[in-house]
Amino acid sequence: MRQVTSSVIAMSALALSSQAALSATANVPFTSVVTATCVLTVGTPGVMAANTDFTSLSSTSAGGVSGTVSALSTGTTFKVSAIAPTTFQTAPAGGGTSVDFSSVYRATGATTIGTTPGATMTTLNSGSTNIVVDLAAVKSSGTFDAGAYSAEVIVRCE
Amino acid sequence: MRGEVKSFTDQFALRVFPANPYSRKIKVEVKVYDENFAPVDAAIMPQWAVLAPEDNRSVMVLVPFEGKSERRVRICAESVPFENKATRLRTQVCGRFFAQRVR
Repeated sequence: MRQVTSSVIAMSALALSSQAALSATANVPFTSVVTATCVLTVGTPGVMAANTDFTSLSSTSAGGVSGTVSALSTGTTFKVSAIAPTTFQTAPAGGGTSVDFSSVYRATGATTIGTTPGATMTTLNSGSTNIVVDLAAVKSSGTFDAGAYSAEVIVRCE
Repeated sequence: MRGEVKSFTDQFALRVFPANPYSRKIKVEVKVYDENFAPVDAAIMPQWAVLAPEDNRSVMVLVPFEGKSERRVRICAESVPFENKATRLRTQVCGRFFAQRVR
């Protein structure tokens, strides 16, 4: 009887040690550092359309298209703005004189922003924000002559 | 983004890493401005680069103190991804840096 008990104990011990080998584990540490970053990605450039009396070119006029930009922020210290140009990049002769530019933007997503003047800086929440930018060019005297016009809005994240 | 730099010489150096988030190559330009967005005459190497999709590269920026004991600058990475459109959107991501000269 004593012998039988001994052998059972020995078998149990073997089985246990075998199980321990199969379930051996080790912890492998992984680390990562995400820097505070702002990523701006242009979705669509805008199109300015003329009003009926050709004194204004605007992306909010009929036929105009707003520009879109995606802003991805990994921090909460970044501020966004949409700076209007002071001149056209391209314009027919005389087309760029007596023109006032103004830009506005609004946003949805991680940060919700109502229609805001372009020069105003708005703090971004962490995450992805979809920004819609509008640009208007208004002639203070005269009308826009026929030709191709282009202007550049600077969407800034800092 | 914010940063502080201390330098023992009459200029200070920064390394920035502009990246291309688009799925096609773009041209990226690095520019240095003062706190009022007036351009600063700094050495930028390279000043512009063509980046492959999802790529980034380091750019070295050397800014002179111009006789001052401290200087605040903005270093901006700019891109113009779409050309020949009526309204072009230029994106500009800027970091603000405060540099002090240690004498």
